[in-house]
Amino acid sequence: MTDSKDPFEDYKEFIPEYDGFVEALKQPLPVHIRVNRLKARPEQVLRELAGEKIALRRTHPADDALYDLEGTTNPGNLLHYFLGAVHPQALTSCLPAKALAPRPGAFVLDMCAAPGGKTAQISEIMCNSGLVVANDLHAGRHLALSHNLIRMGIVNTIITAYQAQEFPLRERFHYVLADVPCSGEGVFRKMAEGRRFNTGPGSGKLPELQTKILARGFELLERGGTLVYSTCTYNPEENEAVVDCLLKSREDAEILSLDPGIPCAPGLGSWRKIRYDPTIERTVRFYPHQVDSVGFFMARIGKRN
Amino acid sequence: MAFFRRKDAWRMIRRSDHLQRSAGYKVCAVGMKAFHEINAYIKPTTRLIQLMGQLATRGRLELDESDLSRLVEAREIQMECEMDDGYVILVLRDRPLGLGLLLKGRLLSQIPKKETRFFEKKAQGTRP
Repeated sequence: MTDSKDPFEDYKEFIPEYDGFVEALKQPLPVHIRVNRLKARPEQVLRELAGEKIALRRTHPADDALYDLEGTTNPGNLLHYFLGAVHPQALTSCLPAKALAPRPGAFVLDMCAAPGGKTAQISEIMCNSGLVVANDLHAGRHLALSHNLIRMGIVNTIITAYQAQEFPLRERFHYVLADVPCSGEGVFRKMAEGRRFNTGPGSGKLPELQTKILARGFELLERGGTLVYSTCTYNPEENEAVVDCLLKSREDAEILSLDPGIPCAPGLGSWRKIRYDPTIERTVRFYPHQVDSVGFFMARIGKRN
Repeated sequence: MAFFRRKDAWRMIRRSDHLQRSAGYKVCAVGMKAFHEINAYIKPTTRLIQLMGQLATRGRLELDESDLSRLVEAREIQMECEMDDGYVILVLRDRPLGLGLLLKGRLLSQIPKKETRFFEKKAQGTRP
């Protein structure tokens, strides 16, 4: 990543409507919430917040639990937050759990779980049944992870602290979520001057780490299972290249189709003269000028029987 | 549900066939904390009350927003009611919030202070 005035200049060749993208980065990130259906019905929350003159705008056409909290800066101060009925979660961050679509009663691994928004959403989709192993290496993040899960009434989860790329191979899971550490470019908004994404020491090793995590996650998946790989970055070296590496090393891996229900772009076919597997086009990218949310990448991967 | 005791607390997790499969992992936390021991008493946690309080048929104390705001700000208010002294489930608009303690005409909040940001804003008259 070149250190220039436009931090995303290198991506001009593949980000559609680049001028619109640059303009979108001048706006602050919206405040999004997800209604936790384990604790409240979306229409009930809408009605009660409207009574307090708090406006909500729906952000997903097919999901009535996802909203933009217009004009309110801190959802953590809401009664509904205290009761676990709502959770601050970017629209795009709500998509991996929806793409994973775990069935009730399943055995699920969330490899990099903290602070727990996606984990809680997975548990909600499973109706608080089965078992979710919420893994996060950093014990310092377990407090936030545990607090969020408990606040949202999640009772089907255990917390572990393994390095994701070395999670024990004792058991195989029906579903695996690998929402990996990344450079965080998708969170960048120009309003937050001085805020930098992860270009510090060690960030160059991210693709290597992400590749190892994905490889381990795929190994932990049972035959016929589903894995979702996701990042909040635009960097192809952390996205398509990592998924491509898995496809080259595992004949039993296949990219499954995705229909997120909101505007997105297909995964890149190539980057810097490296051509990727053609099925990489089934992965999806989200840009802030197409969807007013955190920039994101997602791949849904199956393990052939 | 399955309950696990560790030191002075009980944790609760939904029973599942997969619990046995996870026995070989080094587990840092299981489910949610449901009860803890305080002196000779076993007290449910705020989160357990929020999860299960709807099922309670006794010991429910319905508050209005004004009472709740005063309780949160002062941690203790005068409360004349026909209920016996002891722990009660605080309810706002039919939603269990947590526990209170009725003691000789006073109601003491048992909701952790750090969890009451919303109410404090309301008491100060500011919008959340």
